[in-house]
Amino acid sequence: MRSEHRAAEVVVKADHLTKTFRAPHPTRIRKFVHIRDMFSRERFTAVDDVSFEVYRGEVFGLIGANGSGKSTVLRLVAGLTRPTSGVVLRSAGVNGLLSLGEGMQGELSGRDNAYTVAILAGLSPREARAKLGWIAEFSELGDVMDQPLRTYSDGMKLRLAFAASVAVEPEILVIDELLAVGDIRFRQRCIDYMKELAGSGATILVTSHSLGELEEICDRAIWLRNGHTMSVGDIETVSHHYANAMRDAVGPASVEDDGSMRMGSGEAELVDIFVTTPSGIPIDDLRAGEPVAFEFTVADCSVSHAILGVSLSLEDGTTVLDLIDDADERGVPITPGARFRTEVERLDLGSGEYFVDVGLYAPGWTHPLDYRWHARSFAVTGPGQPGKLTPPHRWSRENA
Amino acid sequence: MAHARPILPNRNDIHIVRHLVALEFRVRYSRSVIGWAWSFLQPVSRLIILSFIFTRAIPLDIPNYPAFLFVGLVSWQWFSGGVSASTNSLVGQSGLLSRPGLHLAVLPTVAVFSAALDAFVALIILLVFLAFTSGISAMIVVLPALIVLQFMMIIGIGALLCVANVYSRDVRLLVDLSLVLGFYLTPVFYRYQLLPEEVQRVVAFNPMTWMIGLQRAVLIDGGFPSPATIVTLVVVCVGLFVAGIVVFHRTSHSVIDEI
Repeated sequence: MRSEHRAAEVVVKADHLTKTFRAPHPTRIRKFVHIRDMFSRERFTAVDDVSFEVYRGEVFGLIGANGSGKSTVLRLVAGLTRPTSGVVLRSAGVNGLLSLGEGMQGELSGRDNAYTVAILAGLSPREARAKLGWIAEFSELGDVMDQPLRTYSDGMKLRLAFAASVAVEPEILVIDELLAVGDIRFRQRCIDYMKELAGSGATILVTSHSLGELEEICDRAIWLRNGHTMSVGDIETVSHHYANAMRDAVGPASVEDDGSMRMGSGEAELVDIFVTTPSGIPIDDLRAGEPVAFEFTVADCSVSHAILGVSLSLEDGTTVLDLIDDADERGVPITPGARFRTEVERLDLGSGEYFVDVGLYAPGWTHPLDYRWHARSFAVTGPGQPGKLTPPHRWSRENA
Repeated sequence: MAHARPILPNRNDIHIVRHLVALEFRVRYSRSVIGWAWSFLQPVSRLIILSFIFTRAIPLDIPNYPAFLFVGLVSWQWFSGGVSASTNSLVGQSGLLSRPGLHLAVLPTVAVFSAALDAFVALIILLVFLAFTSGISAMIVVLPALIVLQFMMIIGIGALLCVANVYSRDVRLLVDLSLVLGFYLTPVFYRYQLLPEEVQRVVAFNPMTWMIGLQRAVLIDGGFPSPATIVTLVVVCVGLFVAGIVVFHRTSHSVIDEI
C-alpha cells in the first residue's frame, strides 16, 4: 500500500538545504565593547546539504543524536526559519507541535487553551468550538478540561496540546520529540492516530533519537549526523545503516587483564575506578546502611561531553541500582584527567557481593564511549537476611 | 508548492489576532475581583493626583488644567503602553514563534491592539469628562485622523523595537527606561512653552510632543493647528510606520534563529 502512495505525489521537497547559525552571543558587556563582533560572529553549520522528498500519506522520520540537525530540518520544513541555501517546497500548510505549551495560559482552563491552540492551528472560531468535544475525548481529559491549566501535569498538557494540534486535520504535520513526555498508553494512542491520519492522506514528519520509536511508525526516514545525511530511504534500510554504524563505532567487547569486560568507541577512557567511603578512602566492604561513594577518572578523551553512569549489579546480572547523570542528555563537560564521584547517602542493600559497572556515553545516548562491566566488586556485610534490601526499619507492638 | 509564511494577513490571522487580544484581557483580569474596571482606575487615579499637585501644590496656571492633563495622559499612556508591549511581543511569546504557519506579525499586532483597547476605554472616559467640563469643540471631527496617525506611529516604532529586542535584550530595558523619562520629557502635564528655549529644541524632536499638542488643540482649544505642524506629524508618523513594516518584513524570518 505504501509503494502506491509513493509513486503518487511529493508533498514536501527539501532540496540541498543548508543552514548556518551565528555562534552564541558573547556575554553582556563585551557585546558593546566589541560591537563589531555582533555582526561578524563565527557561524556554525547545523544542516549541511540535506535533500529528501516526502510523499503524500507517509510518516517520515528524522533520526540522529541531539545536535545532529534533525530539529533544524524540521523547522526549515515547517517554514519557521529560512535555509541559508537550498529550497523547501511544500504543497500545503504545515501544522504541528514543536514546543510544548506554545500560546498556553496557566490561568485559563484546559478548554480555553485547547480553543486557543485550535485557533492558532488555523481553525475558525466556529470550527474550533465544534472540535472541543473531540479534543476532550481524544486527550482523555474529560471534566478536567474545565480546570485551570496551571493544575495540569506535563503529561496532561502534552495530551491537550497534541489533541488540539491534530484536531485541525492537518495535511502536513510535524512533531518534534514530544511524545517522550506522555505516558506509554497515550503515546500509543498518538502513534495510532498518526498512522490513521497518514492512511487518510496526511503527511507526517517526526523526529526522534530513538530508533525503535521510528521503526514503529515510519515508512521512510533520514538519518543525520552533525548536519550531514548519513542515510535516507526506507525505514528498514536507514535503521540497518544506523544500527551498523553504532556497532562499528563501539566495536566488539574486550576482556581486560583483571577479568573485567569493556566496550566502547574509545573516544574516552575510564581509569582508577574505586569504591570509597565519603571521605575518599578506598574500601572493599561496608555495612548495610552505610554511606558509600564511587569514583573514576577520565584518562583520555577526544570528545567534550559525556553522560556518566554507575550501576551496581548482582552476580546473576540483576541491576540493583543505576546512578545516571543525564539531566538533559547533553552530558557533562569532560577533559583528560577529570575525576568524577557520585555519593550514595546510605546503601541499604542486603548483604552479599555487588559489582560496579561504570560507563561514559556519548550525548543523546548514541553509543558508549567507554563502558567497564564489573570494574570493581565489593561486599555488603550485615545481619545476613536473604533479602536484597535492608531499609531502616523498626518493630513495635500495637496493642497493650 | 508554497512557503508557509505568507506576506499578507489572511482570514485566519485576523481570527488569531482577535482571539489573542481577547485572551490577553481575560488573562490579565482573570483572578482580579473588579476585573476590567482596573483599566480605567489607572488613568483616573493618575488624573486626580496630578491635577491636585499641579493646581494646588505647585500651580502651573494652565486654564482648565484637568482637561489639559487628561488629554495628555490618555495619549501618552496609549503610546507608552503600546510601545512597551510591542517591544516585548516577540521575546515574551517565544513559544508562539515555533507555531508552524503563524504569521509573525500577529504578535506585535496583538500587543498594539491590546494597548489600544485600554486607550479606547480611557478615551471614552475622557470624552465624557470633557463634555461635562470644557465642552467638546466641533474640531473633534479631526480626532479620528489623529488616532490613525498615532496608531501608525506606535505600530512603526513597535515593529522596529520588537525585532531589535530579539537581537539584544537590553533594548527592552532601554525602552522601558526611556518611556519613564519620556513621561517627563513630553509635555504631558505641563505646557511646552513653559520649558527653557534650549530644552524646547530637544523636546521638539519628540513626535509625541506634537501629537499631544494637536490633540489638545482639537479637543480643548477648538483652534485650527498650524498646517506645518500637521504636515510634519503626518510625514513622521507615516515614515515610522513604513520603516517599521519594511524592517520587520526584512528581518522577521531570522527572528527564530536569534531568540
